[in-house]
Amino acid sequence: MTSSKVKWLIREVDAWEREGVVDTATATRLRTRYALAVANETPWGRIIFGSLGALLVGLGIIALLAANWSDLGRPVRTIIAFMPLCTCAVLYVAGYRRGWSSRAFLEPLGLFWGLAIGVGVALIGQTYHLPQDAKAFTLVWTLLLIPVCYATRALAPVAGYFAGLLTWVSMSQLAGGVGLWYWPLAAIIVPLIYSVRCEPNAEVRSTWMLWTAALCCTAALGITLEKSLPGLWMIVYTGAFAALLLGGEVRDSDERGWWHNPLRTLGGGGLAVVLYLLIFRWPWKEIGWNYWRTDAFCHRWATFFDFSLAIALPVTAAFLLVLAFRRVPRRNWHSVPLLPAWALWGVAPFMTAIAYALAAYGGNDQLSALLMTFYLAGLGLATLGEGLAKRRPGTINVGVLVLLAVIIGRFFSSDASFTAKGVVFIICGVVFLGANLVVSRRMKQKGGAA
Amino acid sequence: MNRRSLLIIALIGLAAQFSVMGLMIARREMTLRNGVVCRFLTAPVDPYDAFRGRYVALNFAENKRWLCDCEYVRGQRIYAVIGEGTNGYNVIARLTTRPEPEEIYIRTRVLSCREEYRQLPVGTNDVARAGHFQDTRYVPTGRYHVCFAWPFDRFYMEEKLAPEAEWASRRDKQGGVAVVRVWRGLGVIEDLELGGRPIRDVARERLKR
Repeated sequence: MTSSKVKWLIREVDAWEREGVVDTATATRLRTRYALAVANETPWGRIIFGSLGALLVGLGIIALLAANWSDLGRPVRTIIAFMPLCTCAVLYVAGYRRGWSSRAFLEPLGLFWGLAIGVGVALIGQTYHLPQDAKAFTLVWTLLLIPVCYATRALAPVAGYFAGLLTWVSMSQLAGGVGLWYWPLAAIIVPLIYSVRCEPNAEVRSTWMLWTAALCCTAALGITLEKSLPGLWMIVYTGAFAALLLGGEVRDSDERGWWHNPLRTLGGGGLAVVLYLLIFRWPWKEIGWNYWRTDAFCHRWATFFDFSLAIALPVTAAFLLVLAFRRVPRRNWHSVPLLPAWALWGVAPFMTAIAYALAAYGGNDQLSALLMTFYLAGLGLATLGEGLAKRRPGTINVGVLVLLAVIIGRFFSSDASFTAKGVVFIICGVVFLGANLVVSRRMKQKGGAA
Repeated sequence: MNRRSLLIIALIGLAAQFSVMGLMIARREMTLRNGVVCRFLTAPVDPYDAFRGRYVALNFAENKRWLCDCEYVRGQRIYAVIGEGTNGYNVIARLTTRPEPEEIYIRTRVLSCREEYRQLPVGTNDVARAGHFQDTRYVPTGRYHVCFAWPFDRFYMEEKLAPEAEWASRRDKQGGVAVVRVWRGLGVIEDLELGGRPIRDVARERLKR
């Protein structure tokens, strides 16, 4: 509960006490309980300003050292390279001895500590004229961040760790290397995020951590794929997004805000974007075994990773689908069992696999695009229906948006005349406006949100 | 996780951070103290690094592309054996996967390796002699173009001196000489000279004028 809500509650308790709704002892107990909640609340203003200060100091040190004071000898520069790290060590030990465990202390310390490592390594590189090797520099800096993440449990080093890993793997793949090490390295931080998520009063921090990790891993997935078998990315990405969506549904099904459930939001959003791309014909052209990629930058053994993901991710999605489905209450419509909309979204990797088989072995890209169009349109309708049934305007809008996107996307890529396109768009617009009006009226009559 | 275990993680982390940085310094200090001096011709150019400041990029006269008799895999560890050139400066004598212990060598990696081809006219010798052939074909020569990474390619300088160093090199139309210490495969630049003097002194003089 935020401090403003607690203040409101305490004012109400005062009023209840005056009006005799609660006795003095109960009112005192309530005040004590909520005063404790305010005391434990994270001081965000102090954290942000403290972190900003640490960031500016760190960047200032980097700029100062970049000036390169060649008059200072190598021993002096070596001592300077260790100074920021020594400062962090002293601050951490002093904080431990004095019991400073507030986030307002640990968050800026984590940020400064992370920068101190980069400063030290960069200054050594400057002193000994190390060659240009941004990949090695990023990797060393990122790996040395691991203990900082665990020791401070702060957001900045965790975000820096994932950003650093993503930068390193991008550079590695661009240079023709293999970026599979990204995954075991990313997994090192997963227990930390899990334990922060279990902490009381760490909801905001853990949500930001989860968002950072999920976004970086989604981007890294596309980078680390070897892409030897053209088109396999479609199954991998739909599988990954479906697993995220269903994982979010299983883990935090009660969290309703889109921000508070990053897995579900990213999974749903990503799935919508990928499925939308698949309603066109171009992704289905020149895919399958007949177009196996063999060039100098292709590592045959690394394709094993692509195939493993293409199997493991849909299987994980299926497992999570069963798990999530068992947790939701059964609904019937005229004795016909109804599936929740997310369950239909969750089968996306299997639909994609069928469409892939059609395009790769049948050579029919038109049929695959058509299948995905009908599937996405069906998803839009199902989401719209669920929104109407549960009276959720947000879900209704998502359903309408998906349907509109399918109609506009498919119609624009068709060869129909502009007159026909214009007429169809006007009819669609009128139908949606009319439907919206009817829904709003019904919701007002039934007392739902319009 | 209790406070004591957090402290242990922090101390282990700090030890790792100090060790990595210490090891980087120690290896280079050993090279600067015990290494053999090698001198390579180079042309300094002045660019910028966001983290480490201004430096002069070293464009070595020595070619980074070599013609070898054997094929190497991209990323493979190789050794560039250093020899004496005819002009008194050092040159890369050969590339090898196993250098002799008495040799001076730099440890590096293969960036790319591609087979060399020779263009031949299509047709018999008679047709070629008559000049009637129109097409050509490519046949492998059995040799390979190997491109490797130079382990020293930049010399960091003060932000005001680096542009002056480049201007001095351009105006006098003279290449620089990179003085490199080499020890157990590791090369560390000791100094950069222009006209037999340290480039820092030359740049400082230009700045004072």
